[in-house]
Amino acid sequence: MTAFLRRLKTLIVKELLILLRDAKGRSMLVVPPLLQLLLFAYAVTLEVRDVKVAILNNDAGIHSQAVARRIKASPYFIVAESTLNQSELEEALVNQEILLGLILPSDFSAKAENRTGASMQILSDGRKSNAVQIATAYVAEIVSQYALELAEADRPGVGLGVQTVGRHWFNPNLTYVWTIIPSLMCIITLLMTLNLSAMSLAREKELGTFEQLLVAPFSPAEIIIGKLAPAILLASFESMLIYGLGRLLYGVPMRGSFLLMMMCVIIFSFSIIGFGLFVSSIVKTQQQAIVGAFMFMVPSVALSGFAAPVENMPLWLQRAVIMNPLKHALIMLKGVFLKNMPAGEVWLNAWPLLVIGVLSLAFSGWLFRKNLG
Amino acid sequence: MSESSFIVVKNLTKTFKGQIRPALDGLEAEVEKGGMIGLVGPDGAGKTTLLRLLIGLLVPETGSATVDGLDCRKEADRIRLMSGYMPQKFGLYEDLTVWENLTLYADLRNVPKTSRAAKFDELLAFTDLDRFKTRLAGRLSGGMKQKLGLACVMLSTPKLLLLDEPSVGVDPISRRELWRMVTKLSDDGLTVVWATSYLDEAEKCASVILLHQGRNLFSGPPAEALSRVEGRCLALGGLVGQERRLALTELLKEEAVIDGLIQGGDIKIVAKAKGSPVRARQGAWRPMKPSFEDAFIDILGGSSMGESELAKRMENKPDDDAVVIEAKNLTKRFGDFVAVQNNTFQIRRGRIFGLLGPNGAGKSTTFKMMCGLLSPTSGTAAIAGFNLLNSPSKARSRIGYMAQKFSLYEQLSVAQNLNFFSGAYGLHGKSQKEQTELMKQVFGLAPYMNVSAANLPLGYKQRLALACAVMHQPEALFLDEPTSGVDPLTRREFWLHINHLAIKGMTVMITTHFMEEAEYCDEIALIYRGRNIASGSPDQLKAMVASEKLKEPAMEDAFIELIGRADLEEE
Repeated sequence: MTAFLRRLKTLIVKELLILLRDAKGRSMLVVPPLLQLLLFAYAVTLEVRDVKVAILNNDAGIHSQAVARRIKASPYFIVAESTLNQSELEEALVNQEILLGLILPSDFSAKAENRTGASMQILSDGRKSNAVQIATAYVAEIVSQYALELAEADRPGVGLGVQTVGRHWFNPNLTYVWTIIPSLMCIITLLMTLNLSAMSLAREKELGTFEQLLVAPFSPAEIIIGKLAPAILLASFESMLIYGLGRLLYGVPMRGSFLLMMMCVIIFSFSIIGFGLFVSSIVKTQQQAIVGAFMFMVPSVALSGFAAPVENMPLWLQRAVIMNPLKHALIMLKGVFLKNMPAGEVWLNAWPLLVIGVLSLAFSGWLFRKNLG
Repeated sequence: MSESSFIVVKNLTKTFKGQIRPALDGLEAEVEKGGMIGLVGPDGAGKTTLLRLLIGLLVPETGSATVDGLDCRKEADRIRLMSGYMPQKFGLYEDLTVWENLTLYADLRNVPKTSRAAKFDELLAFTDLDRFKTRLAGRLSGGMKQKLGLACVMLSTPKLLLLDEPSVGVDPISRRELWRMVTKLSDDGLTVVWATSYLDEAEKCASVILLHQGRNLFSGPPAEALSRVEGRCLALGGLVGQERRLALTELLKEEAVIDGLIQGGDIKIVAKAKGSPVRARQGAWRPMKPSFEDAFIDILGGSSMGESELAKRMENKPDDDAVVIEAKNLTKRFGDFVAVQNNTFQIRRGRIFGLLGPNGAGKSTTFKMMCGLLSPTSGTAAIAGFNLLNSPSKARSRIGYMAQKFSLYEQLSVAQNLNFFSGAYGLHGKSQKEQTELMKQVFGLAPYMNVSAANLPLGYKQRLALACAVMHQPEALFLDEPTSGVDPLTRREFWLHINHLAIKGMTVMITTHFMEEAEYCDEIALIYRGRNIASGSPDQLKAMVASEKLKEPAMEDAFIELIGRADLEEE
């Protein structure tokens, strides 16, 4: 072994020991991803399910009853049992007891029977705009399906002449966990590597061990690689943990190559560490490092496409988020995981990460030297 | 319990979680009303714990303590009302001015608005801070901050003043002023408990409680302690350089000598008994005034420990008198501020070189440039001929560095720290194992090998830090206040090692606030306002300030006088 490799090994072993020596450190590696996995998979979903709905049926006819029955039968809705009057319904909406209030007027069945344009009113809680849009679309779909069936009964073949049959590729049942597993791998990797690079160097500064590193014959490159390698190692471990749990607990299928996926994780970690070291070279304490990391975390998650699609952003912002490593990582990992994205496509998102990593590492290496001066 | 006792402590025990030893171990003590009481002991002796227990910030496990008849468990709030407590880091608001800080503490202490102005003026005049009323507390020097803290504590005219190491981080000049102020308060009838790890401060107290490892080793007037060693302290003068260290080594091997140290060109020893002959060195031995530290060592049973096992097993460096540490026109600017100006010095092999100076004078900056933690604005720093800028790795691999604050990996065990630092300096395989084993034996680390460094007793932390700094047998050893706060026995042990490493040819550079440490140096550079205002051996520096009035100046006198002269020149 050359002196270089030996010194590197010394640094890496030290880093791993600090993280893994006590039980608290070890649990910090396993508990947060587990917790997030459970939370995201069960609690925090973007799906609209079990929407609370009240139906005010002012009509006793068969058509209004049929529509009401269909809505009750839909898995997306929970319909309030008790019948309400108009003001009670409005109050329930104000108090957020229901998301939608459906009002069927007294002439609904008559108009439907005569085919003279029956209509129903949907009152919705605009404070939850996203859920309301989706839920309203569900109702509209149920109602238009009913209308089609009526038309079909009048003149067979006409009503069903044109219709859409949707099929969701890569995730046929739109199971939320399927998309959350690769996303979670990205986010945990982000957390992990930021923590290790920004925090651990700041901790060394705060406790004075950084000076010990600097007076020792380590070169800046060795110190940086000494932080880089353990972070990548642990991020890979975390990703495999999530991968394993995702497959075992949630049955998420893996369509692409496991090796390619791990490559993506490693390239992504690399790009984040550059930023983490940058933060740590401008702060003095761990507290400041947390603030710095947080300033990076929030926009990078918000502008990553994790919750809001990048395609919905204004054009200038879409161009700007090319600098957001998380955006590329999400595309690569979801791609490899769910649709067997070919290596060429992966590369399109991998090279910006490599560029970001090299630039930010070079920059923080430069700051490193400058701080010494 | 005597009737007049103001503070009574009985069988007080307090253990902190994760610590190996209790902080207070069945402590017994009594304090009379009025006067200056020195609560003396090395770091970790239990001083802070005792003060915090007295005013009810901590609760003891067993035992009791009363202040003026008030129980510190049940009546802590009444104790707090009648006493002023100044913790080690007094809670000044750095973004408020001196006056605003006083106002804030007056509010907290319910000082009536009507009497405030008079009280503030009185305290500001007393602490000599009236010129700085509108200055932000954050902009005050260490000494001035302590004075302001004292003023804040004195606002409520307490009956008892508890000061936790008020002189730490304060340069000798401010230290004297602070001491004068507090003495005046105690002369007016206030009971002052002054906690300190500086043993020389103990001598000046009316009475002393000497704490060591949570126990009361001695209490009473300092003269009583000094009488133990009266007539047993001797000094031999006229020695220079390496000769002093060799002589001390011989003397410490002798049965009749229980303690010995270097004071400039003198070797000072404490004999086992009055009049017992010193055989190892013939010469003009002259009697010395004993110090409180001599008494402390005597109470602990002496310090003799012969030779340094560490140095014995180290390789001899070549006996070539080469220049190992060299600074040429070293200058450092931070913006417009010149921290170090045109500093030039050479340190030859086997010498101990000390950097002395008040806070902010540029001594740390110089030190940092010499070990490669800062790069100079101009000029060069070189170790064994290797420039720290051009060939950093070569230069650094020849350096051993021990920081002032413990700065090893606290989360790692002793063994893991030793492994890391030996690996950092390129030791591996057999030599790594051998060195680790050697450090384990020499520093008595065997029982602690698997203990986290964070949980080590202070003395062992320092030992581990020294071990990590010397494992690779560096050419140059950099020590930043290596023995601040440790007990005198540990300090003796450290200097035993340092002296013997120097004999073996290791070159040592230290910075220090302790005059006692400065006395061990072969050469001292006194740094003030970025410049090297005086340099020479300790005796040469003392000679510079000797006068009719002060025939035998101490190191501290030389320090204060030389800085005073530099100030005069400036004006």
